[in-house]
Amino acid sequence: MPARRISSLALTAAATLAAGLSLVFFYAPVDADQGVIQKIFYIHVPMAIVALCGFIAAAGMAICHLRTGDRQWDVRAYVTIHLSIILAVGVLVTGAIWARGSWGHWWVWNEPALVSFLIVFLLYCTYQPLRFAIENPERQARYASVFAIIAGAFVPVNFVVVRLAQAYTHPRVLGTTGGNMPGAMRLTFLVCLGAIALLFATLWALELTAKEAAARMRRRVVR
Amino acid sequence: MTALAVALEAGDRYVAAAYVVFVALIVVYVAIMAAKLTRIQRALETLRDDRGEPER
Repeated sequence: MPARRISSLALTAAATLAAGLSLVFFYAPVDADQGVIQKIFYIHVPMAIVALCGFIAAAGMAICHLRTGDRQWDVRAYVTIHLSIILAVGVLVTGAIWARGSWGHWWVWNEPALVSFLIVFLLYCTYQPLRFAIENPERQARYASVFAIIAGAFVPVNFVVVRLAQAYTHPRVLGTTGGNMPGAMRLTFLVCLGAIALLFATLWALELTAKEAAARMRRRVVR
Repeated sequence: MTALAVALEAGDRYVAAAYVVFVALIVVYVAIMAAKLTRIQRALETLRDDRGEPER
């Protein structure tokens, strides 16, 4: 991706993030039930949504890799999973902070949303060791793509199963009827979601460009 | 720092901690990426010097 396009993407992401944080702290009302601690959701939930969408998108890129044999798709899937794992770390840490403040515990093992997200996170943590355990680059890319597709299919299934679970204590930010949030909260949430998505896109483009530059350099060294 | 901690209520502290974690995550990632890019740039310059190519 050209540097100018990355710069404009980064500027848009920074502006949206600044707008989102301003809305969180100066515009969104304090939740009557949870109090100020509910403001954690404005980054926790968007990070979770973007991370899970990233895992699913990586599965799509892996399918493209297996269908076309173009290594570029494998690199894209790798970068997407890498960034989604980083966001997932953020989701787990901010979620634990919220749980401590709200429930009095850092972690609750009988809560389906928490445990299922941890399972997804741990599943994807095995992606890199699996990938780099294979020396042959062709086979490495192929195995990584197969893993990304299987794990990516697990993500929506996991999400639906958790939603269907009866013992539910995790608060729902977006309900089945289009959300339970009042207008100001919903606007803030959507701006934050857009900001995290733009941030993800910026970092994705940046990492992909770095990877392409490194690959080009390696090719020049070999030549 | 202590004065700030006292000024913040329990809920505020958790919110501040969550946002600090978020910002720290992004800053650490960007710092690692910047270090990687600097390394690549240096290696490219060395390659150019070795081959006697002009800088673009």
